[in-house]
Amino acid sequence: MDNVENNGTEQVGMGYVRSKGERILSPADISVGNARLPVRKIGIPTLPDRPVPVKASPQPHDIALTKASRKDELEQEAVEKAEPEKPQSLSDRDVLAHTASLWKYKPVPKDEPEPYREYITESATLGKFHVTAARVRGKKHKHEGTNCDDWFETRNIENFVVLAVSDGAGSKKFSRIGAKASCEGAMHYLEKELRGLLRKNRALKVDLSQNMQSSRFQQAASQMAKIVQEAVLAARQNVISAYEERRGSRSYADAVKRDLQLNDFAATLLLTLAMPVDGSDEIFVATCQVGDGMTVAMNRQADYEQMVTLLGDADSGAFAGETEFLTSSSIDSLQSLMGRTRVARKKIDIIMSMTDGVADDYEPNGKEMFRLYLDLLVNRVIASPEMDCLLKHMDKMKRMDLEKSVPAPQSYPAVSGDEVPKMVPVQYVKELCEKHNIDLKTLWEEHKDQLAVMSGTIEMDRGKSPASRLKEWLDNYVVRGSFDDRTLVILQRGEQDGEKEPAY
Amino acid sequence: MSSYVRRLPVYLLLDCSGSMSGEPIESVRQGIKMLVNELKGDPQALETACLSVITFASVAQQTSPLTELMLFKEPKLEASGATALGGALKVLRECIDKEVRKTTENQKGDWRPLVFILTDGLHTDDDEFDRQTADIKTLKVANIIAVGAGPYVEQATLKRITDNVLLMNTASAGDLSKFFAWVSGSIKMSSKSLDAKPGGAIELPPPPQGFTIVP
Repeated sequence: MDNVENNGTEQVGMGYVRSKGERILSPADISVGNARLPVRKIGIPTLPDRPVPVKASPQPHDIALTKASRKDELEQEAVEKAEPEKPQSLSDRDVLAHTASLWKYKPVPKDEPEPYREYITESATLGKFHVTAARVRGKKHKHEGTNCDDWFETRNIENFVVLAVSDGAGSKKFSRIGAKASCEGAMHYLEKELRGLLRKNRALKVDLSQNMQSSRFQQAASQMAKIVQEAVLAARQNVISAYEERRGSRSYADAVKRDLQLNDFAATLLLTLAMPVDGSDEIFVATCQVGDGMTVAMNRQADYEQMVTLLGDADSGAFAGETEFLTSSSIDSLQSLMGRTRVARKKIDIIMSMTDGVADDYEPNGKEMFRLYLDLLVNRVIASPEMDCLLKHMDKMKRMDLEKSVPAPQSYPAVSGDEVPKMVPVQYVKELCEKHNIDLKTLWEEHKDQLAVMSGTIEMDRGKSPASRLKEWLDNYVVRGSFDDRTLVILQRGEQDGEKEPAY
Repeated sequence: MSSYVRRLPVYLLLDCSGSMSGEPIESVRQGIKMLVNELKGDPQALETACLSVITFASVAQQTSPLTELMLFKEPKLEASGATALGGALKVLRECIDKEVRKTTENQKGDWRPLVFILTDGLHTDDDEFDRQTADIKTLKVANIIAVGAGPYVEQATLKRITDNVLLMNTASAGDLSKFFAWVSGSIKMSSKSLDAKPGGAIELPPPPQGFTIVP
């Protein structure tokens, strides 16, 4: 077992460990700037007596950019730069401003069997972790008046925190039932079997804190990988049971106008098991994933290149490119789950597990998951004492200057049943990067004050829990071509710096 | 930050040979107008799909480059001359090469293009047609649906382009209008079911009444 790499992530099967180092971001993976534009460092106005020409940025506004105002802006820019007219094209923002008024809101249908709630949120302390989670119905389903197909469950089982996230196949009528059965099946199995395993093998937790090269650790890690895989198979079995229970029922068959099939319940599963290692700031984590979505671990104290670790692979199936579901016939044994299992022990302070409704907005995941984290930061979903401190001690003049240089929050009318749709201002870190032509690494390492000022533009609604902020963000951030259900579960170490999660 | 949205490129390959003149070509003009209007009201299509028209008569050419739906202007269509369907397939390939973004290490490319071919007769450019159809099915560069209109269409020929072949009885205004309504429905459906990953089978709405699916 000497092929284990120090980076702490391996694919683990039953009783053996295969090294798989490339799941870790290497410096070569991190793009400097972007593929097309040259990198230019941003000149930040710091000295008030040497004013730097900064174009006045629009104030935070509560209305979506109308086509007219955008046009004015473009014309103004054209005059300023006196550039020859470019061939006609539209920015994503132009298109989004246009489609904003076309999205309709239809509630979840009541005449179908088993309607699911529009929103689910959770804010809870689980053992030594704090979990913040939300699931929102996608614009596509709101537009068409169909159910949300995502589901998630969280548990604390003897200080192992378990996260299950599932996405029902978009084209299948009852995939939401499959998604719920998938999460519940995995949880039910682990409630019983993980407790049993820990009772039987009392040294297991200690073994997981041993040297990673030691056979004690290796064996314990293999056991954890195996139990996660078994839980995925139990989840599959539970989806099959859910199908079989409903197979004979008329109301279900009527809804699809034929007999039910197993793949009407097709759903993915991202299962994560995390345990803080006693006496260190490391976390042991085992994951198994069937289908798309992503689970990611972060260590904010690490160098930029080492900060993000992907704990899953959306295309890890035998048939790359095809979406696999728990109901696929190829998911039938522990063997078939080996390539889908990850085990890691390393310094981690945040774990995030999400359906493709979120993961696909941050492609490619290896490079862009950090942007997800920053978006959560500037929109005040994840609290950042560091940002708050920066903001608090920032020179007034400097802050005013920076406020002019960061983009204003954008608002689009919420797709909701309200007569007057709410406008929720959202900040996009991508806009900041594009505005100043800097990459995420430069932003993080050199311009944290910009991020702090950006987060300062988002108003705090005091008394709101992080989960409801997360829900609001998931429900309102806008990306062109993104209208799927969105589920995000965030696991943070609670006790690390002795700070309690502040309630906004 | 050169990230861009994955688009669903849609190519319409339209027969503008002499036999289409009169009512049929007018119906095609109306059909495109209707199609674009219809799609402009659909937020999902607007955010994902973009449209191009390639016409073929004695020669084939791209009359509208791949364009955002919001900016799409209907091409001026005239019908005369022969039926260079082989040439149209060649132009299609060149356009896909040039306009459709490929998947790279840093970026997922566009979705696999959706191609609708409408023809009312036999191609007249045998050599080019043979060259183009030699590997078109195995290359799988696009999801192609070929629709034949009227009595002069040869099923077997269309089958050489794609396995998805539909036949309509006539090239009448009524049938052509149904055709474009169906194309519109297919684009809407495809822009919704994109979570069926590239490589997966395409799902299209059932063809209109009077259309036959060639097995």
